Amino acid sequence: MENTNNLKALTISLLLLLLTHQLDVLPWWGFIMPLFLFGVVINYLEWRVASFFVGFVAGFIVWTGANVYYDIQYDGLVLQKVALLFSLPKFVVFLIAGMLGGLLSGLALYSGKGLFSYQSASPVLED
Amino acid sequence: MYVLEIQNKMKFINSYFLFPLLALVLVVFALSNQMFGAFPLGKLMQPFVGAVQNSNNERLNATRFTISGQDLSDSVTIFFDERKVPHIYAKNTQDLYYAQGYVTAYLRLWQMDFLSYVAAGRLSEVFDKEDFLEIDRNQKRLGIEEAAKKSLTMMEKDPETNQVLTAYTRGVNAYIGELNYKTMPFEYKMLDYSPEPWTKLKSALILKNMANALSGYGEDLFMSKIFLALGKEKFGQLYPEFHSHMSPMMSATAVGPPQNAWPAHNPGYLTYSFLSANSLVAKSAYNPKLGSNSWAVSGKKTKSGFPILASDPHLGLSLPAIWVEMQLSAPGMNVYGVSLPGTPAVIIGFNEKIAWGITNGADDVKDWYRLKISDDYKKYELDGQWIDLKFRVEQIKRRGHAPFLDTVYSTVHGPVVNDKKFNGSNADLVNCALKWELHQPSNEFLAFIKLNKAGNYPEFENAIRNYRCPVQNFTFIAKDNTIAVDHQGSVAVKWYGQGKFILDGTQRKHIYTKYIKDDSLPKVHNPVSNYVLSANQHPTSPSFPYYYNGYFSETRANRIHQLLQQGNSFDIADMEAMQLDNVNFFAELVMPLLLQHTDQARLTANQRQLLAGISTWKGAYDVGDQQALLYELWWKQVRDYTWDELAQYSFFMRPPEDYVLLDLIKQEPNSQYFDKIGTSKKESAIDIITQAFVVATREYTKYRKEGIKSWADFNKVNVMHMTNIPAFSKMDLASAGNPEALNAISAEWGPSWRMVVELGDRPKAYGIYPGGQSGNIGSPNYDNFVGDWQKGKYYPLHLFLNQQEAEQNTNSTWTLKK
Repeated sequence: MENTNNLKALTISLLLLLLTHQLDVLPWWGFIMPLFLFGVVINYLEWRVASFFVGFVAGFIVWTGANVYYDIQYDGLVLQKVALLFSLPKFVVFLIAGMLGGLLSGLALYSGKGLFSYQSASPVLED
Repeated sequence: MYVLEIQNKMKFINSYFLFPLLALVLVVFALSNQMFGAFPLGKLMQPFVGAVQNSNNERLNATRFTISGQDLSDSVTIFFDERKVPHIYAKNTQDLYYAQGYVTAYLRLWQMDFLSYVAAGRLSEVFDKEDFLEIDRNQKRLGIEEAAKKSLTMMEKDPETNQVLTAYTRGVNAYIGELNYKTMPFEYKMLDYSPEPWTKLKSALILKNMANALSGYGEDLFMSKIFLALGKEKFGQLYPEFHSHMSPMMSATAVGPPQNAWPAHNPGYLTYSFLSANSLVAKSAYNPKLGSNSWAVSGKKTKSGFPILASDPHLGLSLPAIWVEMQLSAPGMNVYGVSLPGTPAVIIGFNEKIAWGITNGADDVKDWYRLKISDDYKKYELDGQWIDLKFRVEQIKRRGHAPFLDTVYSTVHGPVVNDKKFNGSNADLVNCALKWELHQPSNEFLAFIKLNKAGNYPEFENAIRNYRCPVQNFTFIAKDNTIAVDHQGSVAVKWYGQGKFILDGTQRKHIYTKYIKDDSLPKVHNPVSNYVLSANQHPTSPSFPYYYNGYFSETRANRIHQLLQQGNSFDIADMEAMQLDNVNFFAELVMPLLLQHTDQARLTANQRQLLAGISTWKGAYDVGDQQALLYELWWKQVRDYTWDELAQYSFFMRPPEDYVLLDLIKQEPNSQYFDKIGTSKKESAIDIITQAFVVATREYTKYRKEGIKSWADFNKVNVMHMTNIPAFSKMDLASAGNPEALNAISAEWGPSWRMVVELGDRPKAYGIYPGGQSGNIGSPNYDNFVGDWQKGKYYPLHLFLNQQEAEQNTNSTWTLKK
């Protein structure tokens, strides 16, 4: 068996997520587009990637990580109150953020990768 | 080449892969919108633009911050002091109000915008819930927005007001223009909508919204029904216009003998056939106890020899707070105080020469006329003639639904708020027209613009003459030791009882057209007593030549009167102590009577012990007081037992005033009112007071078992976020005070701004409000005053005399540049 390209794909996904998030002009879901395109590219390059899983992990890391980062960096009061609003401990709010980011990124990479079929590649679900 | 290669390789789109793509789109959509009453979670949790970004307070804490590209004629400097109070220094008035708009929007944009939605009846645009449509319809039908539009037309005709309003609006919009999703206030993100451009109309709406809160309460329907039920004589005895326990604003001495008898002016039109058969009176959404205290003491009665003014308006407690503090400084003016977010100028405050306070005048300026309307809503009858009914169509835009169109009819009197298609909460007011001073065009902004610059009593009076609705008491001190209080506003000339009851809409003579001239309105200027006071009490004694009615309360005024009489060398600390005074003057007065009318022989040993305990009570609702709750329970029970025959009426709204009951116990202990219905025995005052005590001790013991021992355990205060979301509110604050005490704190309202000012070489001022300068739930400055407010602390208020002083005493500076 050939090695999978999961790690490489994860690194690139993380970079893409962080880069697109720097663009304030995009709508909040703007990060989906580069990830989707990256999925198309993965498919074209015939990398072996568990696309949903890789996307999910990347999204989870970025959304949880960045929420935690900003929460510490700033006064941290808003998420504390949001947690109170849902009667949840604050860490659960971070996890929920991660799940949402993960779900969206995962779906983006997965659908990008699987959208097209090429002559040389068989349209097989790999993950 | 490469492209070609791709084209070659690409064969087909996997149709089954459209599903995850569709899922993705759906998830994005679902997480972007307020759906099924939930929040737009994805948007909100997105770390780079979502909720977490609202915790960023770097700008408010910046040592230096420059905002360029502003539409100003010169640059403006804003100094933030240690409590984040902005001290705005501009080189001309227009720039000053521009900066006020800008900085207020920075601090409170969502709040002021939301208030404009509330006032205009636009909540359905934000909330997709049927309940809000009813609220919006009612608001539109009351004519708040209509009135704001008419007033704005008048305001725009006055060059000074128009300049100020325009500059303020441009300032607010400059701030809105900077915003994007990341930086917009949290509430917009949560409720999933965006700030819209500010308009002068929105400022006018906020003013009318306040007028609505202060003059919206009414008892016309209840009074009409109880008058008919009791008859003229009993009505006059139980619901008198004046009684003997009053300290009217205009006389420092007590009122003469009570005027119980309803005079010869019989409202003859008021018959059962005049009123409809419906008999319920809906619970009022307004709070008649929304009151305030303000008093002033001349230098002849103070330690320093300078006059002192105290003002504490009692309003609904909310977060963000009703008020925002600021100093406004430009050539020709330098004023400090609280401003109403969304409106220019300072509303209650002081400058180097004068200070002023405001309390609600409490006059009834809202009257109802029963109409005769044709079934098809085309005509109504007036003096025997059928006149065309006017109508306007109000459009209510709704989130997620088609706009709702509502037809509102109106007559010469005013709008027909409730009709057969909109019963509202008052079926009995169907086909009644509302005549309300709030509907008249007025320019209250000019009152405050001028007041901010006023330097003496004539300038003060000249300023407040622009204040029309609702009637307010303006207390005043000037550096030259002038003290005064003016009962200011539009008060119609009415015949005896006019407007107290529902009026007859078919008779033109029921429509009042004249107003009491401004110089004939009640006022007091440098009285021999050397103090003036207003606390929503009667403005005058019965000797005042004009009839008026209202929703006055006397107890706080009596207490202020009592305290101010006692001293001769007051200082600021004394005034603060007075604002925090927890004594219920009435309770102190009635306690000896209650004790005297309690038959101890009928009590158990345990009850006698409780009676011994309360017998030493001095009427104070202090935090740790153990007796106040027992008194509250006892007096409520006495009241219920006495007025049980009135409470039987299905339209019952409120019992007679407590002072009426006090006199009854004192003068007629065997009155028929003490006789309980449903018992064979004929009870006297002694019987019901003793029985009431027994019931009260039972309840009291139950409370104590539940752990509610001291007054503060019982008196829990909530300072609620405007959406009523507990997570954003400060709740269950154990507090001293009572609506009848000067420290008028109760569950959801109380002293919304406590201010004490002593004028002299430079003003010495202290104040606090329950909130914080920032409206951002993610800021420590959102609610940081609440704890100190609850403890009765005051902050020094810095009115800097010049820009250098401001610079030296603050550590955060913003510059607004061209």
